[in-house]
Amino acid sequence: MHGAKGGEVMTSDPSELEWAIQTLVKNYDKYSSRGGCCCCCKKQRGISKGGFRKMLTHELNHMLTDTKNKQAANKLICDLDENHDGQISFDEYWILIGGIASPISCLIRQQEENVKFTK
Amino acid sequence: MGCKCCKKHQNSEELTDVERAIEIVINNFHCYAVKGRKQCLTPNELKDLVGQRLPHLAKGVGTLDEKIECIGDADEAKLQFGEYWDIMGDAAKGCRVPGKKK
Repeated sequence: MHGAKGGEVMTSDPSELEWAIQTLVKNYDKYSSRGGCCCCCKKQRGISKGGFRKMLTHELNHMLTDTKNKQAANKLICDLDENHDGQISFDEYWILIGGIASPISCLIRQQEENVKFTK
Repeated sequence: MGCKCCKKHQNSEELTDVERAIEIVINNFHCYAVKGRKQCLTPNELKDLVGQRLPHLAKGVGTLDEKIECIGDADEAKLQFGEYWDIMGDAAKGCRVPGKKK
């Protein structure tokens, strides 16, 4: 087994954290570029409602429960869609992922504390 | 660095790439949040994290120094996970648009 990647500055390969960020960016691009946007349109339109639901079921089905629940997904979109254009922009997408990550982060911290106490 | 934080979860094989990515971002936060209140990063810890873990993407976080100064004392101030996440968002935007537009 190798040690954790990314401890030292690398010139070529991305670090693990960089890979993670790029994966999240690529995931956004994967779901946002599809849809009715014409090819000449350079501006990305964001993730549509359908694309967003697809993303929840395909990419986040272990972290979120009941990802096929259309109503819940639609509500999530409404909550996220700050400018109400029916599209999830990159910023809105990032807020969503952060919203998922934050409670997990708390859980991990709690688990670590518990491990310490039981040792 | 003797950090094993990224290998904590045994079940990571069944996770999607997106989920693994989320885990990695979280784990890096905990890996560096070691001083004082452990659910927060100090500005110095954040600087280390960005410098060591984001050697290529750090450009996207160009305003990091300014941001850190706004937070307050380098060893005392606390950064919540949400603020860390925002900064990672800046890095992400930096790698989306080469030559980041304002």
